[in-house]
Amino acid sequence: MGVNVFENGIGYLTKCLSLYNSGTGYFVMYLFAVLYILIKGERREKEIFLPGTAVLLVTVFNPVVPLILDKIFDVNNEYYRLFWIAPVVIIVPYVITVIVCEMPKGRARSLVAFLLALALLFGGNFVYAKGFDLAENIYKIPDELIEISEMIHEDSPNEYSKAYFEYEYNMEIRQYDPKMLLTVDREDYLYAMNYSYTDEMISDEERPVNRILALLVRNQRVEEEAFVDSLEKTGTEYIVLTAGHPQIPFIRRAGLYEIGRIGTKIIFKYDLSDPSVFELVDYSNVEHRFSYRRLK
Amino acid sequence: MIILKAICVLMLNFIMYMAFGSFFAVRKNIKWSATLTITVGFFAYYALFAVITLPVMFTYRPLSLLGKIWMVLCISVLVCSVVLFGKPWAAKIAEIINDIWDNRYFWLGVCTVTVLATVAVAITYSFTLDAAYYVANVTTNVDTNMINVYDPFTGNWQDHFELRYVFATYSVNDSVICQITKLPALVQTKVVMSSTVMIMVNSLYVMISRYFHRDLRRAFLMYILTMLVNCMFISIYTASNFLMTRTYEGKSIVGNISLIIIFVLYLLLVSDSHPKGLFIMLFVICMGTATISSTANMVIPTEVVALFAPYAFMKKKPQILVKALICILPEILMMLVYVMYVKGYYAIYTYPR
Repeated sequence: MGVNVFENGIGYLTKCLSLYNSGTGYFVMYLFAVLYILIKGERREKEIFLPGTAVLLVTVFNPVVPLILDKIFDVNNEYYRLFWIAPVVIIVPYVITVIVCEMPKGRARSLVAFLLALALLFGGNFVYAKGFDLAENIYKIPDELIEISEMIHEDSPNEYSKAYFEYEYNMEIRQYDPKMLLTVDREDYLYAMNYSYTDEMISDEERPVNRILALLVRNQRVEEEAFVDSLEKTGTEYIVLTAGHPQIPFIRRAGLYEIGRIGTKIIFKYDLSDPSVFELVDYSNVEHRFSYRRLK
Repeated sequence: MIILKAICVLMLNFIMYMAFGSFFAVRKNIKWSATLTITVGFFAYYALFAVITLPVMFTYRPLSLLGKIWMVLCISVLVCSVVLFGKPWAAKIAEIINDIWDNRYFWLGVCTVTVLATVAVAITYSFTLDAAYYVANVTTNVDTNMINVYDPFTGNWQDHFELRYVFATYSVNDSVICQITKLPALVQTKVVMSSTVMIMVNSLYVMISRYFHRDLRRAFLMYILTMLVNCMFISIYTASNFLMTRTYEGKSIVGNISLIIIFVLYLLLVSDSHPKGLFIMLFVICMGTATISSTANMVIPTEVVALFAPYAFMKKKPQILVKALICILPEILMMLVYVMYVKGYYAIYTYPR
């Protein structure tokens, strides 16, 4: 979530709520709905909605609670999920229905209904505000990615191929194609998307993937020899880049060659000096017993 | 062909949930709710699936074996359910048909909104990082015929199980379904399960709206507004956003089905005619939710306590609080298991040693 309990202390909850709402007025509407029931609600309505809200106010919405919880769990990125307990999607529609339907028919009722509709419409962010992004196919991934996968498997003599993809395709390809092994895992990619690499990290022999990411994501300076060595160590045979990527001349100089273009992407191949074939671990003769280790 | 298969799996989902849920929610000669039965059945299905999956997974047996065990179990549950509850089902179907006929404009409106919402989530493209784990885990399990042994992000073999996800066996069920039906993982997760979740959520909204309003025009207005709120209450963190854009994820189920059905059970408790076995249903829901997403471990106990504890005090019925606390034991247990793993107390290997 990008908000830290330790750094923000008692102010964590406010920042967390502010990010959660992101400019929508629905939480305020929730509070108004609760207030309406407190003032005008019937006994049954109060019994349904108020006790739970009171408990939430002294627990989930208490600025001290995240400070206590953080001592036991890392709640920094997940505390907002407790806000889901507040039944905003139930109580706001319920109170609006009651207000509108219990007013006598007439201009006043139409005006109130109109104003409440405006509040709902303009108090939020429409889910398709940025457009209705229709999936290109039933797999709901780009057609281009499917074609890239097919091209790599046609080119490779092995069942499994190892490749480097740019961020979004890296996250999507294995959802479609489990026979495509990836050079970079999610955490490494997330780091590279947000931070630069120090010289020490680039020269770390234990982490050849750092050099690949430093060059291809951060556009940092990496020696050709060191880059090729990283491809060898990680067993990366294919690199898929957007045409126009600034490092294309570099990787051509490093010995990679183009095997094809699909849409906006170019697929490069590197001939590993000692290619190893990926094989699944053989479980056919294992002892079927639970195996764990106590670490502490 | 894939679309046809997906529709069949979608329908089969509801039949199975009905079969599982009937054991908890259907009582002969007593009024029962189809929505409640299906929703409780959904959680019973996943709770039982986890009970079967964990020993199979931790003893390094293949996914195909799990698939066979699960298929036999599902068929057995379905047959028993038909034998035991066939008559109540037939009566309920007749009652629903009558209700639809008597209130056709209401149901026409509900069906239109539900179908629109379901089609919208089934055909839209959305990029989320978490899918890189959940969906890739399904493809990886099916491809390797093992359960959670390979890293979904890269395809590499893992030395030990990633316990953050391993007890949430919801995605393993998708793997089993994909292996049996040969449905692609992306279709099973992002089309079939998204549609399943959206239909269930809409059914719950209809149930709640009708609980509050006998007048169907009012009930329909409230129902429409709940869906409008879901379309508008959007930031990357809200449960509504998870419902509309990441529908198939476990977190979305926790935020939009588990929390709502627990609220429904509370509504039934508050009303004078609450169903028999309410706390057994609550226990099943809590247990099922614990196997769907680890988010449940934090959110579900908080909601159960927030709703049931004040009621127990107000009505001076401490046994309600005791029952509610027993219901959240699965979450408490999972939380302890997870905290001990995160604090580095133990690791479970993916190969015997």
